[in-house]
Amino acid sequence: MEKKNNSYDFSVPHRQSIYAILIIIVKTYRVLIGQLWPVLVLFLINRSSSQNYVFLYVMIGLGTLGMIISILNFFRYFFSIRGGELIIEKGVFGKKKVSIPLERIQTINFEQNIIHRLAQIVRVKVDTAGSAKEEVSFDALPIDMAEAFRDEILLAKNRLAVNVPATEEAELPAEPTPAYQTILTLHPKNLLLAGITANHIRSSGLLLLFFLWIFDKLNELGFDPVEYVDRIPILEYSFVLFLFVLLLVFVVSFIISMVRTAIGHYNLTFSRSERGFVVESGLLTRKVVSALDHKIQTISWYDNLLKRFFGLYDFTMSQASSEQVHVKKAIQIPAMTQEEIDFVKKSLYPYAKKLPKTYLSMSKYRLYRRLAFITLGLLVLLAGLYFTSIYAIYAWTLLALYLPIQEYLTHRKYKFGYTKNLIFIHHGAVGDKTSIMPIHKVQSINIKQSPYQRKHDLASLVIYHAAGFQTVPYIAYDDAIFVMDQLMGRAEASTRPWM
Amino acid sequence: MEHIISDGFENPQVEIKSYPSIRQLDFQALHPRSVKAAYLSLLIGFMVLLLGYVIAYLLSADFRSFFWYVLLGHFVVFGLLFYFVQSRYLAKGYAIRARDISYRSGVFFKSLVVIPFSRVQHCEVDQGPIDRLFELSTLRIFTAGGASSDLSISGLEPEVANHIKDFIIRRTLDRHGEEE
Repeated sequence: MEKKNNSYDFSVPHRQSIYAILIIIVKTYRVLIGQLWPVLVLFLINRSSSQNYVFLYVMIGLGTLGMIISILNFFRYFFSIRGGELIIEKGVFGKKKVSIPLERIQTINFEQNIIHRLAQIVRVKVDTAGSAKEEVSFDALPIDMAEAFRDEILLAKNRLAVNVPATEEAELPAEPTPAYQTILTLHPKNLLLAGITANHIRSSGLLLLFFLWIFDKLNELGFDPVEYVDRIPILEYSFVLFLFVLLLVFVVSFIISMVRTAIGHYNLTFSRSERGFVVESGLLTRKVVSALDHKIQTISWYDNLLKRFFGLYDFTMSQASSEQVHVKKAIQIPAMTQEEIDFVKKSLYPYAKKLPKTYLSMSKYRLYRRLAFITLGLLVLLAGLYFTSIYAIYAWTLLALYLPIQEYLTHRKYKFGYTKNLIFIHHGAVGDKTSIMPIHKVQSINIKQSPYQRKHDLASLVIYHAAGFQTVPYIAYDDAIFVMDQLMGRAEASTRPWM
Repeated sequence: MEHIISDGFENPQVEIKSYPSIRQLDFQALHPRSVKAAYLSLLIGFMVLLLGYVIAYLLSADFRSFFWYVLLGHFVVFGLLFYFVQSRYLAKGYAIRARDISYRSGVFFKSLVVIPFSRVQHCEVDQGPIDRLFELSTLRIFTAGGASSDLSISGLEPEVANHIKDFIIRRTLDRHGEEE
């Protein structure tokens, strides 16, 4: 085995970096605190109860035991690459050996939090096509060792791939490290733009939830915020106050989404590797996510009014992972331009150049149905609110005006079409969203028909892929059957790997 | 782009009309014994819930005031469920083609699922206590599309269920063989 620029011989068992112990201890405590913080809070509030002490001691005991086992685990944890397999030997009491054939390894991701960065180490996640049990992750490897490790696996994988004629790569790459082509780097200016144009409604929602939560907790602790507010003479419930609160929520959520975007996407680079994409980003926790082409199930991009003004899109790639059912690993890029998206499209689907000739729209009966439901729901709600709290009616009236417009726009914008290889879905209400999914990624298709749909000879189509599903609602029943036949025929005839 | 085409990938143009249509599918009914099994499991559910209500009636004074409404609702709901057992049975059916399996169900809310064999992750045959009583089996088919896209066909004869399972597994293996 020739080795370039690395001095690691993975054929002999290696241990993780010694910092792994630190990481493990931090992890243990984070899990413990995450699980037990309500108990701790209770304990702090209510010190007198002796029962709490017993509980606390038990917890501390369990925590310490867990930590000791973790540390022992570190010293008994070895990994090596031998005979085309990644071999992990572990176990404190018994010895357990896990071997994973290299060709089963799908992606290798690096992650860094603050400790990792200070110590010059990375967390390495090895994703396989098997079940979640076979997931492997190393808490701490020195950066150069991690890179050598990844290169060695990729190289070995490529070598194996040569023997298999059906894989898409025909020749071995010249260098062990795949060449990366940068698609975009999020400069501070674009990061700012991404923050400004982020979805503030989502942040507002989170903020409101947070307020409600606080409100709830205060009530539990015996404070009554409503009574407190009542005692301040100026703050009367009024339309002005309502507007003020709305403005406040908006400003704060604006700041929150700015900060969230800035922290999450700080110094983001999105690049094209040999057979996939890599994203590196984050201020506090540096994250590297990679996706191989054949694992990517759908790509989609969307804008909102602000983003459209700047010509920017939020871009998402969903990929199948071995824990597909639970976790959907997605690559998310804020503030991408149309050219950058086109580049991704071209490199991901080089075989597809055409756009659908015709599109299907949703039937108007869906709109009627939705409007009827909204009217009914709001009438009931408003009737209820009329007797309880008059000021909440302001909020609901706004909603009452907004929802029908949203439904109408959704109805107008929805378009479904497909070519020989790809499915295109355009949707959105205020913003525009486009999703693309290769037909050979179809896992199963379901035609659904409610009594209302049957009356109007309509049906909905649900197309499942390994990272979720796409719905084609309220199309003519005959169209649904036709589309299903077409997609099934193409999916079954295709020999491209779907995962 | 050329190397992708030359790499054993073939995607010949297919005439649109030439794809087989699910319209032509001849759906197989489930075994008639599954109707009896459905009645029995409904009856068990009916009795268990009824017992629960009676216990609640005896234990809680609050519940007593609206017990009769609950009881009425209970009878109406289960009456409807019993009434529609036959239609539900008639609505269900499966069909197997060379490359996929289809399953339809639902009296009011109709559903038709098609799963290609090449996408089947794994496949199993189960037998619950009621199934065993009536000598029936449930065939479960799992894909990578998640729980909502998985298929479960109950009320098959064990031999049929196992036969279909073996067939699907063979087809799945064939496909993987083709790919590698």
